[in-house]
Amino acid sequence: MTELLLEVKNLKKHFPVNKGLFGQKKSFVRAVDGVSLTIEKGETLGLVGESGCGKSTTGRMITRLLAPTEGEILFDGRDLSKLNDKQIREARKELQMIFQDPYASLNPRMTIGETIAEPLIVHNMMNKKDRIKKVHELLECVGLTSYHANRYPHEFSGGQRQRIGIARALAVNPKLIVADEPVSALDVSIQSQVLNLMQDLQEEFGLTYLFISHDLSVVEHISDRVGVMYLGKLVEIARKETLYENPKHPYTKALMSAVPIANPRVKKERIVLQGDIPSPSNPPTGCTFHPRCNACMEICKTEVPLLKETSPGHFSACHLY
Amino acid sequence: MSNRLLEISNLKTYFFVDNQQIPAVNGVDLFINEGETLGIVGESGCGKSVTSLSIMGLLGHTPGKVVDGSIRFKDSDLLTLPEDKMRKIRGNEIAMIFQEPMTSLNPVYKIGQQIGEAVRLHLKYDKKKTREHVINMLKLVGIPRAEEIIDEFPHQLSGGMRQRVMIAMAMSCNPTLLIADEPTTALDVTIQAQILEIMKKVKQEKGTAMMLITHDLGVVAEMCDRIVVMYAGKVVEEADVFELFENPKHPYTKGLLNSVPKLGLKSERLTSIPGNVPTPANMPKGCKFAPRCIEVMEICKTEDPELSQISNGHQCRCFLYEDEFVKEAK
Repeated sequence: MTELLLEVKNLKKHFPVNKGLFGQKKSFVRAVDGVSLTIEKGETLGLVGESGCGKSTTGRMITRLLAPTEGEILFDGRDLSKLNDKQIREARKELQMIFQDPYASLNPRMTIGETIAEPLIVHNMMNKKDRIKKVHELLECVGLTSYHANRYPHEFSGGQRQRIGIARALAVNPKLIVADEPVSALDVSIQSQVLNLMQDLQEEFGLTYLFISHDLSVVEHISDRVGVMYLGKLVEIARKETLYENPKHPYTKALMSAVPIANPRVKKERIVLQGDIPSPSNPPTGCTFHPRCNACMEICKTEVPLLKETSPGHFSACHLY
Repeated sequence: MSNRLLEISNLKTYFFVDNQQIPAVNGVDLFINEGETLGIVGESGCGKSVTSLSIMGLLGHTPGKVVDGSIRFKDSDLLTLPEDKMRKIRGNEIAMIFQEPMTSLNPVYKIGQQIGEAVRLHLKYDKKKTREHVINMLKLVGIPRAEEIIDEFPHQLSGGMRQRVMIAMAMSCNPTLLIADEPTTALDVTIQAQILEIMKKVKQEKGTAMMLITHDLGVVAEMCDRIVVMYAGKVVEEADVFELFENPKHPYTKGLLNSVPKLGLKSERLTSIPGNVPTPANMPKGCKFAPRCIEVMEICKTEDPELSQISNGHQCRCFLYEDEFVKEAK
């Protein structure tokens, strides 16, 4: 049995929306509404979903960039949601994040060397000489060269900047890396370079990834297990082979069939969902997917389905099963 | 053989910035037949969007200028056409769908006014008839409550709905050619599926020819009859959709096809194209793809290959197929 690195229990994040004359908190956007998941050491968990489904918010809560409204985040035996600011800083040594936009996530006034060394300074990890050595090592790890250390972010292309972001995340030898759409801002030919790099680094350093993306084929490529989110809830989670070959939840099925396949001979039956994603501030009653679901039953309109194990390791939240 | 609708030959569009000239589009040849869907594939900066702006004559507000070539649409050359004649074609016979539905609609005009503007200008309908026509167009693209939506503002609609409005606007004057520049890139997959269905339906009903610009090979495989692959301001390969996916010739096309992870296909590693896309200001000598090419030869570093025919309807710009070109010529 492999060891659990992270266990998230019933995680919720409700953002208050100020309404009314005196800004009283009248309503909440339920960005994440009861997500439970586990990540084992050394595996990659992919999290997919459309915009606004709460996948990024989940990632940000796990790294505690956002404080959860409710729920527990057990990381290596500690509950991150209960830590104070100082303790969180300490804990982030083991929890790093790679951000989506490589153009916005690097400080334009810091050289690459300074950017990568900053986490080491924050965590008081090395003296200056060792730091410089470490920065050079890291740059080579991610396929850049040590002379890049004295340059500024604007001198780099998108793919190179994403490599720098990865080097920065690796600097403190984290156990878990939360990668929030790390390749969606990149061109296809560069995207595959970065994906390959992430896989190589995982092998080399024994990293665990939480890989957040809206691109189903990228997630399938890199993940061991995949979770599908819809409107703040996890609707299905399974090993990737099971999930992609035998999706259970109607939303997962629709999502899979919506992806255009790069083969003109394949003519597939497409499930075209009607309508748009409802607003998370006013989600539908019962199963949040029921207004767009083609297998909707009476019970779906009133009762919220729970995540149930339909076959070993395959969980889905649907009244059909 | 169906009729040529649009024929671009040797189009060169340069940008003049800081006393430099930057060749964004550097000698593009392509054509579109009536009722056909042509896909243009390439990464950012390869000149695919600039090509479409050149066709539409919309470079006016950019430092870009067409410096050479011709764009024949039906019987006229769009590049030499005076502005008043161009106005009659733009939005009427050639319409365009832009990438970002969020920013391409005017936030202070109602949906009906925005679509109606082109209808009144080109079709010369009166107020009442315009409104009817707009409602019909909105229904055609699958907008529910069309009678109410027509009086709403863009911010009241979601991304998918706005893109439908953009399609309705483009189709409102019954164009013979529709240019769609990354029409689904900003949208979620399930909404993308809806929009692609609508575009197919509209195309079938009206028999419009379409030029679909995208970087998504899946979308291209599904929508297009013929594909043009662009790299660094030039066409590197052209073939019909089946030929291109099954028998790609140019190393860049091959690399592109291999670097996309495919659903349901388990591969341990993605083959990737090394290096980065060169910036237009900093083009390599010889073949523009040579520094990243795995099959590079000596000749590639000094000479730029020509776009030549390999087999019927399949053209490629690469020295690797020198022999095959010759055979063809004999």
